[in-house]
Amino acid sequence: MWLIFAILCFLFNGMSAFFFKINSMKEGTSERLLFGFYLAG
Amino acid sequence: MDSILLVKLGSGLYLWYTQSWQWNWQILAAGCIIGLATTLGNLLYSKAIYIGPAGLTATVTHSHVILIVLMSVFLYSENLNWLEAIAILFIIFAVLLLPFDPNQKLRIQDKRWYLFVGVTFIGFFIRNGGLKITEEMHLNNNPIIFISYLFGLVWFSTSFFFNLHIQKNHTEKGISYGLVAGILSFGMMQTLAAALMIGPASIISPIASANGLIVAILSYLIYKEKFSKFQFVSFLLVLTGIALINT
Repeated sequence: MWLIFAILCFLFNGMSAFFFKINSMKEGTSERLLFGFYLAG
Repeated sequence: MDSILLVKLGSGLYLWYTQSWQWNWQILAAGCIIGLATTLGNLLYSKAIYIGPAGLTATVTHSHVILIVLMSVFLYSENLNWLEAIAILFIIFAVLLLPFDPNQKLRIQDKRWYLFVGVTFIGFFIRNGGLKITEEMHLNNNPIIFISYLFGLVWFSTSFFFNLHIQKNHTEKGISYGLVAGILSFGMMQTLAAALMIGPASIISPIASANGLIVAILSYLIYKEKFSKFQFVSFLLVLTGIALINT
């Protein structure tokens, strides 16, 4: 069970960081991304 | 918008649910310092990704664990084992390698990348190292984390609303990306805590810290982002270093 949690953690962490990349490819600035990030966090 | 508020409310409710809310000047000061460091770290991390390879940026900024190990050695007299020493050497060597990349096409051209990554590295270290210090001080970390998040929310809300008039050409997608990233980050913290409660930290921590691998693979598959040979070697060395140091 702990391995499933660890793999999920790995995926969530990587995907979260990848959304910063998606933003950089589609948006001119990161301010809106960070606003949303902190709103959800 | 209601669902957005609920998500934000969720982290506040967690604090209320665990009845771990406390107020004193130490908690407030620690929350603000960690909040400032994390905010600057996240801001410059997001800017570094615009001018450098995302996989490498994510991996190098997460190598701040070497400073936490060194802090533990010097501040709390913990022992440095040989694996940690090798990991530190790997990471330092890997980062020093980057400016000498001979590949003119793929090398990191914009020198600001090093500044942004450097500040992010320090910022993330202050966040994680700061939480270790507050834990050693027997302070409650839950309200500290909450205050630090609140600090970032106030910072970026101010920035967002003050810049509304010059952001009219941007889409609303930026906020959506941020919301998804924030929810995933929250999910990451919950699953990490759940895994650590029942499993060995020596295996879980390296797995959890290797997020740069996903960023690098997805950036390559979706955006065809390539590494130069130097960057690839550097990436592997930092990743190995992070895995070793967390073992």
